[in-house]
Amino acid sequence: MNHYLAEQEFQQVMQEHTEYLLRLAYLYVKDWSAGEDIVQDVFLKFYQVSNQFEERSSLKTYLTRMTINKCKDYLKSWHYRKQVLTNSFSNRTRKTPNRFIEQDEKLELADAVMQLSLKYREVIIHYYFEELSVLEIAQILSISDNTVKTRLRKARALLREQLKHNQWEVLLSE
Amino acid sequence: MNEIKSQLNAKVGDTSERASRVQQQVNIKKIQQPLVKKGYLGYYATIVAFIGVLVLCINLIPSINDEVGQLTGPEPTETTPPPLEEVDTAVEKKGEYYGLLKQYFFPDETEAVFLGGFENGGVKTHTFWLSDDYVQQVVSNDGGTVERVYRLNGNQIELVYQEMIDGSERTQWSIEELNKLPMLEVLLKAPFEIGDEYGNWTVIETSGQVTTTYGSMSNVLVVENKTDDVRMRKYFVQGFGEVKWEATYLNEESGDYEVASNTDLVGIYSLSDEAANIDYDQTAMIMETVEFDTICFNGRLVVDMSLNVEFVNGCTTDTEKIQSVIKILDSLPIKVSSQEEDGQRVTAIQQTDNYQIYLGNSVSYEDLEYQITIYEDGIFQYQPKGMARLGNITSKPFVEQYNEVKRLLDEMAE
Repeated sequence: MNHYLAEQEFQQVMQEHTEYLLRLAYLYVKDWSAGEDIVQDVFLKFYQVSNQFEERSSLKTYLTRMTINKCKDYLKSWHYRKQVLTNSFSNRTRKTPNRFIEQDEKLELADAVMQLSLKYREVIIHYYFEELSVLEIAQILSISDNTVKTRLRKARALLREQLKHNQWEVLLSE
Repeated sequence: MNEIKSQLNAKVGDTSERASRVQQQVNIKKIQQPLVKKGYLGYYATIVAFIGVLVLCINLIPSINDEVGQLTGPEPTETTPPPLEEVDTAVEKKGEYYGLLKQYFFPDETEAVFLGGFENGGVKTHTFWLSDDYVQQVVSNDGGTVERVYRLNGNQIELVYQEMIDGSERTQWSIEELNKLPMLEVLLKAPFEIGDEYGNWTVIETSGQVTTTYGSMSNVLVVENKTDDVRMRKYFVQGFGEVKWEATYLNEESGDYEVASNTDLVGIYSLSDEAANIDYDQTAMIMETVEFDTICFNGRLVVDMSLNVEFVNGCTTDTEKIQSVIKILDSLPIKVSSQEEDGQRVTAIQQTDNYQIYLGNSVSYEDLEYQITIYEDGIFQYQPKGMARLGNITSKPFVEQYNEVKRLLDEMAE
């Protein structure tokens, strides 16, 4: 294959998918710096096997799964756990550049989603934020569609408990 | 757009600048890494296939000559094909010493516990008999965990697999996979005679004696690996297996070999019913029930390359914070350390991050009951209050105490 063409295609893939993968990684690991590192790793890995994919419809799924796996590896790492421990007990708020952006409008629902444990947060992210179907979520997370439905139900219940205002009504219709 | 998406979008904000940065970094780093593309793989695959065909042709030539010879020779006699079950086996028929050799492994599904080992942290060997001819052992110490598979083949024991498996489960082997494993080295070969050599190991004793923490044993097979001024010995006992290994070095002044490390058997337990086989040291401490309502935290963090230190500390009765602590503790391997290592880590505190979590009965450091120290490398060690109570820190009661503390933390969080 023409090396220039392959390089062009790779750049195009990055253009199309970087922002989407960045948002996804951030919602998983809640840290921009870690999220950027993860997406970088995903593209570097993809660069090594970029000739493997012909069908663009499966590429997004492939990149998404790779990103999710790397996010989960990061969340299991000692580096991340140490941060959690430090933040739990620090008397002074440690300034990090990776705090959530504080907006003027209330983002209570978003805050509640981010407080969920990963198992429930990720199904909410894929269902509401990525607007994927239950079957698509099941495929990406390599779990059964029944498990996805169960986790969605549980996640909505947890969100209802956390939210004080009536924003939970948006979930009633589901 | 649904409300969740709308709010998450607002929370995430504009990512265009971050995306540009990521792409920039990828373009820089991709130049530095080796590229293995499918096209190149195809190229290499072609070359390998060509070489394979060449080798095959070379091997065929003598066969062709043989056929010609046979054509001119006497009529070939009919041969009986081997039974199907023997086609793929790597094991010869059981040798006459099979019954003896199998006694040099611990029974199936047992845990053999040893004192000593890497940094005196103790060793555990889990044994699984995968079949009559294959034994799997998972050996773990503070340095890591290794999986080994041995094959009883004829009159010898062969090591056929050895890999580090830190953090992973042991391999679930099929017989076909086991039969394909190549022999790495011979562990033992019967009949045993002084002077027999297995690689770098030489049999120096076939009916010796050895003393271990477990007890004194006779009829011991001893093998030795001697190089320059280092001498290593392994002691094998029938009905057990490897019960002791030691490394000694030559003290040039005295001319004697001095012990550098010594690992010996403490006990053997069934993996299916480990609790029933616990054999406490007679000097074991009795776990006192401690109630607490406070967690205090003390951390020294190195914040930059100049080794400037930041202190973070505080006390809390906040159950949410306690729950986050529990989650982290659950993920860390408990490390029962020797007093020597504890001393080394205390010195290391000056340069590395460490966290100490105190469980107390008031929101202060005054009434501290337990100290859990977590180090930069993710290993934490557990000590009850007061160094004088450490005693033999490798003994099981301290592990049991840690489990009790964790249970109390769980209760407190609830």
